[in-house]
Amino acid sequence: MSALEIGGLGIGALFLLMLLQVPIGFAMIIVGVLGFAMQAGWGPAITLLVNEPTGVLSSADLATVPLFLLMGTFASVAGFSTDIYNAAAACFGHRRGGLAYATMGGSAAFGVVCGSSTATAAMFARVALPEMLRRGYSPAFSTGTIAAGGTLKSLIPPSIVMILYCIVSKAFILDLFRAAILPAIVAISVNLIAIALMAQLDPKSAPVGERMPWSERWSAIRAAAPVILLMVAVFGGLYSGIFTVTEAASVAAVLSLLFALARRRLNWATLFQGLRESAAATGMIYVMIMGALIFTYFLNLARVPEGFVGWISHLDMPPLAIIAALLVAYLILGAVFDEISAMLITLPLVLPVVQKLAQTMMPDVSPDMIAVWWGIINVVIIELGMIIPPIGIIVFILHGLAPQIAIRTIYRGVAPFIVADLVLLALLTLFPMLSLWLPSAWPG
Amino acid sequence: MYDHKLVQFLSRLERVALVSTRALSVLGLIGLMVLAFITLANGLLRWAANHPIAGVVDVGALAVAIAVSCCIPISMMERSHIAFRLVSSMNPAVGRLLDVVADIAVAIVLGLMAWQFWVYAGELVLTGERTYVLKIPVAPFWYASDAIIWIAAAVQCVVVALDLGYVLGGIQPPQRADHS
Repeated sequence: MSALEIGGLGIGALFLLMLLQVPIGFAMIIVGVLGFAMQAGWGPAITLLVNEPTGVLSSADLATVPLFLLMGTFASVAGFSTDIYNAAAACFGHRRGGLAYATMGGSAAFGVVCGSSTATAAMFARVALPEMLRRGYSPAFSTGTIAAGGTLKSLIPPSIVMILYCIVSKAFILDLFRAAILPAIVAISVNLIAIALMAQLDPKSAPVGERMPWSERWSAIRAAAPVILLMVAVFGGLYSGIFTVTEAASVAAVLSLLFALARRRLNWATLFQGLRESAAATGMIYVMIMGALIFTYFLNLARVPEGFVGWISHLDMPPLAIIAALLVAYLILGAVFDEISAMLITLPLVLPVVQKLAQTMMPDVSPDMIAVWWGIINVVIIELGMIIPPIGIIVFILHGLAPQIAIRTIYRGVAPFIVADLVLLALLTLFPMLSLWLPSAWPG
Repeated sequence: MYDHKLVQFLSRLERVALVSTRALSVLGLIGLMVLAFITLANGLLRWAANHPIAGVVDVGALAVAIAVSCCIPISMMERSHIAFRLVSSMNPAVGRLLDVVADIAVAIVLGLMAWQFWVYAGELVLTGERTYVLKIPVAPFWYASDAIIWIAAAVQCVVVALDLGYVLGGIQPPQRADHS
């Protein structure tokens, strides 16, 4: 059997198990072990059930995931999203579309201290949506802004999606975190431009609010000071090199707990609820990573990635066209199932192809840096998948929290931000240096 | 009568498993927070006094393995694993049957994994492997992780029993997250 046939069989078996409703992480483990056994025998194959899981469970890099999830739990329970939104709304609320700018900026800032896009969107749906609707913002514009703000989280370090990508692709987490800085700024900018254009085109959907006196603005900013301090500690410690990624995650979890305790906002019920959710998410993520690594092991043993690269190389198409086709394929795949699963399943096949193709486009860039660039592109695709029809998870969460607003209204509001994200995706694909300049220029 | 007894039994089984796995997961996360405090102290001491705490890194990795293992049973019990539930959305009755098949497959994987962890920890005892800095034996940490994975396998057997009970008793199961 050729490498491509083994790979095709493996991927077919994976999809069959997924159709049988086997959880994706476990489906990857089963196919990986069985596929490995077919090639190397049961003895070596069964040891995959301990070799990869022990590496995953004791990984210092992956330990950052539960720590950032805990930071998000404490930040959410402590009401940091309210503080940061109030501060942004006090400063920008008097402009046309000001609350939308505040929501976008607040979501980006809260994204630093919260581990999850869906949690960020849910928080701002509770905090910002009632205020926006009360001030006469249209439901479509309000929900569209909140959904788009939530998706920003994936691109803002420390991002759990980036950590997962790095674990499977073996890229350096800090390189990806550095690479994400400029794309995150561009992402925030294109979303703010989308808000400005929508406010200009349909002024009634984004009315002008009352200007707050400076005393009230200062008081709102003071209330948000702990969040700002937490952001500075996490970002500053990480990017200055004082802390490793694991230590920065520890700082984030410890400081957010201390701030929440100091502000007397923790109560047992919400704390246990948050801890339970973080634990369940941690268990799920770890099994997914074990599955992805075991599945990758099987594909590598069968030399499937090399076979796939060889097959792609024989296509008479320019590299950029193939990469564009891959992006379209990801968007279609993301429309039918979970984007992070899609990334983890396809990464062992797609990354070698991208590294090969991209080297013809940028011969001076190392394969490791190409993996970093593709990581940023993957994260933007995952962002898009969260709001793109038919299954935009954030759109469904918003509808769940505000059932009076129809899903099609939310999709209408999200449409301009989808265009903004597509522009961002095009920019990052056409100009890889947007992602690669900072990590290559970073001292040390 | 049969249904009533079955419902009572299933709900009691589910409650016990939920309470136990939640308690275990909170213990794991508290352990993780303690490790986070120690890691933070280690980083600050290294940065400020060039004097890190000896052994934090090598024992930390093993302790993390135990803390994170504590989160696996709850993820089974709360059914938080991402699954493609297309069939359930088209035909709930067939979907419930498939859930039982999928649950059994997951239970087998967890059982095999727990067995392999046991074998691995036994090999570590034989080779006498110790951590690099503090020279602490590694095997007990992996026995602890193994015990938790056995618990996860047992919890998954409870999930199988619950889902089988729902199918046999014709009882409506609780709503699950749909990721399809």
